[in-house]
Amino acid sequence: MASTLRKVKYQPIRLTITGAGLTASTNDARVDQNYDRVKGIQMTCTDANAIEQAYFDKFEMGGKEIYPKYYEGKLIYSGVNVAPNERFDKEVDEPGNNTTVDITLKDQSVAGTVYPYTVTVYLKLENPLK
Amino acid sequence: MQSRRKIIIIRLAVVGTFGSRQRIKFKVPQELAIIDGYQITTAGDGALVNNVALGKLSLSFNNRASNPIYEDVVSDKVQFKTGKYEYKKLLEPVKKKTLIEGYFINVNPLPVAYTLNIYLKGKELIQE
Repeated sequence: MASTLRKVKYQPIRLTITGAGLTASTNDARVDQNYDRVKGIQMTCTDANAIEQAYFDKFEMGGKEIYPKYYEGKLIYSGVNVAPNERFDKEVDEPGNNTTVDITLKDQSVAGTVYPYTVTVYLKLENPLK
Repeated sequence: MQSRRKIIIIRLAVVGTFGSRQRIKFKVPQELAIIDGYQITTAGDGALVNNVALGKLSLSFNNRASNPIYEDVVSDKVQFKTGKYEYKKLLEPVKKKTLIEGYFINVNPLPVAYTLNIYLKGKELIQE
Protein backbone atom coordinates (compact mmCIF):
# COMPACT_ATOMS: atom_id res chain seq x y z
CA MET A 1 0.00 0.00 0.00
CA ALA A 2 1.44 3.41 -0.99
CA SER A 3 2.51 5.76 1.81
CA THR A 4 0.00 8.44 2.67
CA LEU A 5 2.66 10.76 4.02
CA ARG A 6 4.64 13.32 2.05
CA LYS A 7 8.33 12.58 1.57
CA VAL A 8 9.34 15.81 3.30
CA LYS A 9 7.62 17.62 6.13
CA TYR A 10 8.42 21.01 7.68
CA GLN A 11 7.59 20.97 11.37
CA PRO A 12 7.32 24.38 13.06
CA ILE A 13 8.20 24.94 16.71
CA ARG A 14 7.15 28.33 18.05
CA LEU A 15 8.71 30.36 20.82
CA THR A 16 7.27 33.66 22.00
CA ILE A 17 9.39 36.29 23.72
CA THR A 18 7.12 38.48 25.81
CA GLY A 19 9.51 41.11 27.11
CA ALA A 20 12.98 42.59 26.93
CA GLY A 21 15.73 40.32 28.17
CA LEU A 22 13.42 37.37 28.75
CA THR A 23 13.80 33.78 27.57
CA ALA A 24 11.38 31.44 25.85
CA SER A 25 11.58 27.65 25.95
CA THR A 26 9.90 24.74 24.26
CA ASN A 27 7.41 22.82 26.37
CA ASP A 28 7.66 19.08 25.71
CA ALA A 29 8.20 19.53 21.96
CA ARG A 30 8.87 16.36 20.00
CA VAL A 31 9.68 15.51 16.42
CA ASP A 32 6.75 14.12 14.45
CA GLN A 33 6.66 10.38 15.14
CA ASN A 34 5.90 9.61 11.50
CA TYR A 35 9.31 10.74 10.23
CA ASP A 36 12.63 9.05 10.80
CA ARG A 37 15.20 11.81 10.28
CA VAL A 38 15.63 15.52 10.86
CA LYS A 39 17.64 16.82 7.91
CA GLY A 40 17.55 20.59 8.27
CA ILE A 41 16.87 23.48 10.64
CA GLN A 42 16.00 27.09 9.92
CA MET A 43 14.44 29.94 11.81
CA THR A 44 12.13 32.87 11.14
CA CYS A 45 11.13 35.75 13.37
CA THR A 46 8.34 38.30 13.38
CA ASP A 47 10.77 41.03 14.47
CA ALA A 48 13.97 41.22 12.44
CA ASN A 49 15.47 43.70 14.91
CA ALA A 50 15.28 41.30 17.81
CA ILE A 51 16.94 38.39 16.07
CA GLU A 52 20.10 40.41 15.41
CA GLN A 53 21.38 39.58 18.87
CA ALA A 54 19.17 36.87 20.38
CA TYR A 55 20.98 33.63 21.13
CA PHE A 56 20.20 30.09 22.16
CA ASP A 57 20.74 29.18 25.79
CA LYS A 58 20.06 25.61 24.75
CA PHE A 59 19.33 23.74 21.52
CA GLU A 60 19.20 19.99 21.98
CA MET A 61 17.51 17.06 20.31
CA GLY A 62 17.23 13.76 22.12
CA GLY A 63 19.56 15.13 24.80
CA LYS A 64 22.34 15.87 22.28
CA GLU A 65 23.63 19.36 21.66
CA ILE A 66 22.80 20.66 18.21
CA TYR A 67 23.96 24.24 18.79
CA PRO A 68 26.05 25.29 21.81
CA LYS A 69 25.09 27.93 24.35
CA TYR A 70 25.41 31.50 22.95
CA TYR A 71 24.81 30.32 19.38
CA GLU A 72 23.20 33.32 17.74
CA GLY A 73 19.80 32.88 16.18
CA LYS A 74 20.78 34.96 13.16
CA LEU A 75 23.08 32.15 12.00
CA ILE A 76 20.09 29.97 11.09
CA TYR A 77 17.98 32.92 9.94
CA SER A 78 18.05 34.00 6.29
CA GLY A 79 17.23 37.27 4.59
CA VAL A 80 14.92 37.81 1.63
CA ASN A 81 17.61 37.19 -1.00
CA VAL A 82 18.06 33.53 -0.02
CA ALA A 83 16.14 30.84 -1.94
CA PRO A 84 13.75 28.83 0.26
CA ASN A 85 15.60 25.52 -0.02
CA GLU A 86 18.92 27.17 0.81
CA ARG A 87 17.71 28.60 4.07
CA PHE A 88 18.16 25.39 6.02
CA ASP A 89 21.21 24.28 7.97
CA LYS A 90 21.71 21.11 5.92
CA GLU A 91 24.49 19.63 8.04
CA VAL A 92 21.91 18.43 10.52
CA ASP A 93 21.12 14.70 10.41
CA GLU A 94 19.46 13.63 13.63
CA PRO A 95 16.95 10.94 14.59
CA GLY A 96 13.30 11.96 14.36
CA ASN A 97 10.42 9.72 15.43
CA ASN A 98 9.26 11.39 18.64
CA THR A 99 12.71 12.67 19.70
CA THR A 100 12.55 15.46 22.25
CA VAL A 101 13.40 18.99 21.13
CA ASP A 102 14.66 21.36 23.84
CA ILE A 103 15.20 24.94 22.77
CA THR A 104 15.68 28.01 24.96
CA LEU A 105 16.09 31.38 23.27
CA LYS A 106 17.24 34.50 25.09
CA ASP A 107 16.34 38.01 24.02
CA GLN A 108 19.02 40.72 24.15
CA SER A 109 16.88 43.85 24.46
CA VAL A 110 17.72 45.34 21.07
CA ALA A 111 16.51 48.90 20.66
CA GLY A 112 13.42 49.13 18.44
CA THR A 113 12.13 45.63 19.18
CA VAL A 114 8.38 45.32 19.49
CA TYR A 115 7.22 42.84 22.14
CA PRO A 116 5.90 40.23 22.11
CA TYR A 117 7.48 38.63 19.06
CA THR A 118 7.47 35.04 17.87
CA VAL A 119 10.40 32.95 16.70
CA THR A 120 9.59 29.84 14.65
CA VAL A 121 12.16 27.08 14.29
CA TYR A 122 11.44 24.81 11.32
CA LEU A 123 12.63 21.22 11.29
CA LYS A 124 12.91 19.59 7.88
CA LEU A 125 11.80 15.97 8.29
CA GLU A 126 12.44 13.17 5.82
CA ASN A 127 12.02 9.40 5.51
CA PRO A 128 8.39 8.88 6.43
CA LEU A 129 7.92 5.73 8.46
CA LYS A 130 4.59 4.74 6.97
CA MET B 1 34.55 5.34 15.39
CA GLN B 2 31.87 7.77 14.24
CA SER B 3 32.06 11.52 14.06
CA ARG B 4 29.52 14.25 14.48
CA ARG B 5 29.47 17.99 14.01
CA LYS B 6 30.71 20.08 16.90
CA ILE B 7 30.56 23.86 17.03
CA ILE B 8 32.59 25.83 19.53
CA ILE B 9 32.24 29.52 20.22
CA ILE B 10 34.97 31.86 21.36
CA ARG B 11 33.41 35.06 22.68
CA LEU B 12 35.48 38.16 23.11
CA ALA B 13 34.15 41.27 24.78
CA VAL B 14 35.82 44.01 22.78
CA VAL B 15 36.77 47.00 24.89
CA GLY B 16 39.41 49.60 24.62
CA THR B 17 40.36 52.24 22.15
CA PHE B 18 41.70 52.35 18.64
CA GLY B 19 44.85 50.25 18.35
CA SER B 20 44.26 48.20 21.49
CA ARG B 21 45.10 44.51 21.33
CA GLN B 22 43.24 41.75 23.13
CA ARG B 23 44.59 38.27 23.56
CA ILE B 24 42.63 35.11 22.80
CA LYS B 25 43.38 31.77 24.40
CA PHE B 26 41.10 28.76 24.16
CA LYS B 27 41.61 25.10 24.98
CA VAL B 28 40.47 22.62 22.33
CA PRO B 29 37.76 20.19 23.56
CA GLN B 30 39.21 16.73 23.88
CA GLU B 31 36.99 15.04 21.32
CA LEU B 32 37.48 17.60 18.54
CA ALA B 33 39.48 16.14 15.67
CA ILE B 34 39.26 18.66 12.85
CA ILE B 35 37.99 22.18 12.23
CA ASP B 36 36.39 22.43 8.80
CA GLY B 37 34.74 25.84 8.96
CA TYR B 38 34.67 29.15 10.76
CA GLN B 39 32.77 32.38 10.83
CA ILE B 40 32.97 35.62 12.74
CA THR B 41 30.04 37.73 13.88
CA THR B 42 29.58 40.74 16.07
CA ALA B 43 26.89 41.41 18.63
CA GLY B 44 26.10 44.55 20.50
CA ASP B 45 25.01 48.07 19.76
CA GLY B 46 28.58 49.09 19.12
CA ALA B 47 28.75 46.96 15.99
CA LEU B 48 25.42 47.94 14.46
CA VAL B 49 26.69 50.02 11.59
CA ASN B 50 27.07 48.99 7.97
CA ASN B 51 30.38 47.76 6.60
CA VAL B 52 32.64 49.39 9.10
CA ALA B 53 36.04 47.83 9.69
CA LEU B 54 36.15 46.83 13.32
CA GLY B 55 39.51 45.14 13.67
CA LYS B 56 41.98 42.49 12.70
CA LEU B 57 41.75 38.93 13.98
CA SER B 58 44.50 36.34 14.07
CA LEU B 59 44.07 32.74 15.29
CA SER B 60 46.69 30.00 15.55
CA PHE B 61 46.02 26.33 16.16
CA ASN B 62 47.87 23.41 17.71
CA ASN B 63 49.98 25.54 20.04
CA ARG B 64 50.86 28.00 17.28
CA ALA B 65 51.89 25.36 14.77
CA SER B 66 49.65 26.97 12.13
CA ASN B 67 48.00 30.36 11.64
CA PRO B 68 45.13 29.79 9.17
CA ILE B 69 42.91 32.67 10.28
CA TYR B 70 44.15 36.21 9.78
CA GLU B 71 41.57 38.61 8.50
CA ASP B 72 39.71 41.86 8.85
CA VAL B 73 36.51 41.87 10.85
CA VAL B 74 33.75 44.00 9.38
CA SER B 75 30.40 44.83 10.97
CA ASP B 76 27.86 42.43 9.53
CA LYS B 77 24.58 44.28 9.66
CA VAL B 78 24.04 44.40 5.88
CA GLN B 79 24.70 40.70 5.38
CA PHE B 80 22.27 39.77 8.07
CA LYS B 81 19.39 41.67 6.56
CA THR B 82 19.45 40.20 3.07
CA GLY B 83 21.62 37.09 3.00
CA LYS B 84 22.64 34.13 5.06
CA TYR B 85 25.57 33.46 7.32
CA GLU B 86 27.81 30.75 5.88
CA TYR B 87 30.84 29.09 7.37
CA LYS B 88 34.06 29.74 5.52
CA LYS B 89 35.96 26.59 4.61
CA LEU B 90 38.93 25.53 6.67
CA LEU B 91 40.57 22.12 6.98
CA GLU B 92 42.64 22.17 10.12
CA PRO B 93 43.26 18.99 12.10
CA VAL B 94 43.53 19.78 15.80
CA LYS B 95 45.38 17.78 18.41
CA LYS B 96 44.09 17.01 21.88
CA LYS B 97 45.07 19.29 24.76
CA THR B 98 46.34 22.03 22.46
CA LEU B 99 45.47 25.70 22.53
CA ILE B 100 43.87 28.00 20.02
CA GLU B 101 45.64 31.30 20.50
CA GLY B 102 45.50 34.66 18.85
CA TYR B 103 44.64 38.31 19.19
CA PHE B 104 42.22 40.95 18.06
CA ILE B 105 43.38 44.48 17.22
CA ASN B 106 40.69 47.13 17.45
CA VAL B 107 40.77 49.55 14.48
CA ASN B 108 37.39 51.15 15.10
CA PRO B 109 37.92 54.79 16.08
CA LEU B 110 34.53 54.96 17.83
CA PRO B 111 34.70 54.18 21.58
CA VAL B 112 32.00 51.50 21.59
CA ALA B 113 31.76 48.06 23.14
CA TYR B 114 30.54 44.89 21.45
CA THR B 115 31.07 41.14 21.53
CA LEU B 116 33.08 39.34 18.89
CA ASN B 117 31.89 35.77 18.35
CA ILE B 118 34.23 33.35 16.62
CA TYR B 119 32.51 30.15 15.57
CA LEU B 120 34.63 27.12 14.80
CA LYS B 121 32.82 24.18 13.24
CA GLY B 122 34.40 20.77 13.20
CA LYS B 123 34.01 17.09 13.78
CA GLU B 124 34.23 15.33 17.10
CA LEU B 125 34.90 11.63 17.41
CA ILE B 126 32.27 9.55 19.18
CA GLN B 127 33.01 6.29 20.94
CA GLU B 128 30.58 3.65 19.64
